[in-house]
Amino acid sequence: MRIERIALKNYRQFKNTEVLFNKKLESDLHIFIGKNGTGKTNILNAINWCLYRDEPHLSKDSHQLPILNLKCIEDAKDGEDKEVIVEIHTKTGENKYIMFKRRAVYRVYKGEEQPIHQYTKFEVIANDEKGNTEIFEDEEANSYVERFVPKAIREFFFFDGERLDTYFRETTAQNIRHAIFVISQVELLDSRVEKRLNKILRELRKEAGKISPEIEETRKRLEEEEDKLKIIKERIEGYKKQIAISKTIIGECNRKLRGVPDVSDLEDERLRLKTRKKHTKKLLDEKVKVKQNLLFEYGINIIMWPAIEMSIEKISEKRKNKEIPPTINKSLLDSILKNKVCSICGTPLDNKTEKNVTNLLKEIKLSSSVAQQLLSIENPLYLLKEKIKQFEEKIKGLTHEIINYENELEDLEKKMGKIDKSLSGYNSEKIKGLHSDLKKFQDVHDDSLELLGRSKNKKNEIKENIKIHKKIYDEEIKKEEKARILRKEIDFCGKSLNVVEKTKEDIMNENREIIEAETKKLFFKLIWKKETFQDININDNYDINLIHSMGYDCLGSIGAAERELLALSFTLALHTISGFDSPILIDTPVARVSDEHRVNLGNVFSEVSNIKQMILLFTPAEYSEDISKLLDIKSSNRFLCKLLPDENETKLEVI
Amino acid sequence: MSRVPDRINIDKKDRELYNKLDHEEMLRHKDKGGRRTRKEQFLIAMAIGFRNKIRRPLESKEGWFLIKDLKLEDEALIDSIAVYSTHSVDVLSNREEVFKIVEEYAHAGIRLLVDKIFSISHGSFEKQFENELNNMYSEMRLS
Amino acid sequence: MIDFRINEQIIRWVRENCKNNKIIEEFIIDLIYEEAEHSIKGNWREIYKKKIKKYLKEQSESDEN
Repeated sequence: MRIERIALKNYRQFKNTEVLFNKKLESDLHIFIGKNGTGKTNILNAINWCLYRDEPHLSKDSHQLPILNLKCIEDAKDGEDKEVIVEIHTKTGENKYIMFKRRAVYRVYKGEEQPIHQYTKFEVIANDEKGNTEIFEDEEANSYVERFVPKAIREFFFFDGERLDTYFRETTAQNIRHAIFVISQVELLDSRVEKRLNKILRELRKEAGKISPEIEETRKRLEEEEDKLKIIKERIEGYKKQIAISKTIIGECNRKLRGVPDVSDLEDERLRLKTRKKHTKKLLDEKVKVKQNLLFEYGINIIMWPAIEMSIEKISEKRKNKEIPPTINKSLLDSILKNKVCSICGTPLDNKTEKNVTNLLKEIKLSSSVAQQLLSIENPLYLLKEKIKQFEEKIKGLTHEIINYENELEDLEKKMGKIDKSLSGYNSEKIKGLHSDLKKFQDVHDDSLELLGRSKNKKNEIKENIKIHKKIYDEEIKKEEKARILRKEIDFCGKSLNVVEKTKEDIMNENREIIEAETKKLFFKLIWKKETFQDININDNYDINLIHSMGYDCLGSIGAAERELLALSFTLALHTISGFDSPILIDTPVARVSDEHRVNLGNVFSEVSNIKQMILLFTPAEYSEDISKLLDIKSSNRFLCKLLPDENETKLEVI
Repeated sequence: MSRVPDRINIDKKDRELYNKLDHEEMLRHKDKGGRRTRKEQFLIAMAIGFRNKIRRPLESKEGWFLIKDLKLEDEALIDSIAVYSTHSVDVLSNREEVFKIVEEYAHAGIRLLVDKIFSISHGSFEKQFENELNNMYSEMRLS
Repeated sequence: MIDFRINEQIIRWVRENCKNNKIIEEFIIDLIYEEAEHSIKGNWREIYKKKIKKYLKEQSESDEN
């Protein structure tokens, strides 16, 4: 299916717009270029609104505004009904023209801010080559849409380049599985044929049970086991779902935590550094104090050095002249005078001798007070001199120690700064939360895996029991001639059910294999770094694993461009399954893609447009010279979205 | 014979200046969370006065600390200043004169010291003091 | 009614799984068409039972032959 034409009436900025997607070249590429706010994304919203009645890509500003064009509201009379119409005209591979049309009627009241919704009508009009027309409305029309682009997996058809992160999430995988279930009509087998046949089978068995109590007894046992099987199957599905969810959350957590520091470790390290810093700072402060004391103490002495030096010289001189120490002992003379006896010879002092000794003492007293003082300061002065000599060595030692501590502190500061820098911009609590989620879901994953294994064993056990009980039941029913016809019917139903069940499994497996092979084929054909990746696996639950050349699943860590390519490849692979046939529309296709990969992706778009209709909505910045050079020649149409001066209406200009 | 004083004096007006020494950690009085005694603060003021060769007679005296608090080492410094100032050891016999000399140096020195602290941006007095000491040390003739 | 084609894949696999039982193959394909084209609702039980009887009859006839 390709979109031939889109007609928009009174839809948001589009008063009356028609876009023709004529395919003029071999490639089927159509490009819209528009600045933000010009309504470019509303083309995507219009398609969604027409097909699913919602607008998932609406901007914040647009959310405030009515869906009905503002100009139209302005022009309306009070109480007048105005309609919003979006028509998507498509053509299928079988040359069937299908038009999807949604029409919503709003009543405009002049006093009201928003027009009042009256009703919405959705219809699908299908015309075949022979000119037969069929019209489907509402529910039937919705079913029709589900055939082409199932709502659950629309994000694989209508991409938003800004939301690449949402692709391949667990919910998407489940949606895909369900959609494939529906599209490949496995659901028809499952919820209709199998379910109904099963009911009939049980009714027949019950009827047979009425014939003999033995049949009834064995039926009960058989159906008890069958019920157990049903429960265990549901449990297995539950565990599978749990595993898929936890695996996705683990992947998400790992992806979010990639390159993000381990906050707990860093915080511990920071605390350790902080304690070390505190200790070093304390040591530094102590050394600084010691140095201050040293400077103070030695400072006085150094400043006083000329005085100290002079005093030492004077004392030295006095010593040389034998002026110090005094030759006569003053205390001896004092003692002689006091005792009036010579302390040396023991002769008592006469008057004359006493007078002589008194005069001598008087003389000595005057000169010796200086000598005594000099004597008392002589030693301290020499000590001061010796002390001063140590100044340089001591101050150098201390300065060295201080510098070391300062360097250590600086180093610690740097380390702490580095940690702060690593942590800045991160929400510590959030990161801790992610780590805790990671652990929690790893446990859930492991537990579910274990329970899944056990349940699978249990399932096999029950299946064996069912076989035994079935045999017993068959033998019992065979005994009764009256149950002959019922037995045949039961047998027939049972066999049919086995075929249905097997067919369901085979189709799902085949589809998975087809999608896996196609995704792989396309991805490896288009990827620019072929040697980086090794394989793509898709499991029963449609979880995609992209295997790195080193052997690990790297889906969570690949860049936006690779992710977008994988999504595209996967989408194209989905299209190979019967029923999926839709164009691909990508809004802001290279928004999250680094400059180096934009051209790579441009080449991919160009390639894909050879096999599929592609509608790309670029901002002018995205549609760079490189991209323009690449895609201009490949595009059948290029439209420029321009907002008219009153800003209520967008016009599309063909470039 | 001169009277032996029992205390060292400062000029009454200098008390305020001594209080200002608390702005510099190295010189802060122990009552203000520092490590210096009044005697030590006096000695540094005296040293600064001596270094600048300025003596200022005290206008009004205020007892600052007791002579008995002086250690032999301090006394040696004080005596050395007196000897240096008078070029004679004889001054040592006159304790009153010795203390008067150092008090006058301290009176001049405290103002110079406070000026120094406040003229240098906070935190760098210590660095400058260290540099000056290093310069003086390198010029010293120590045998 | 919407003209839904039956997915060829279903038919292919039903055939694959009924290699030894043509009657069951036809019965299941019949049910699939019935469900897909007529979207049977309230009267499904009767339709299913009728078809079972019909195909069983065919089977016994073919067995007799």
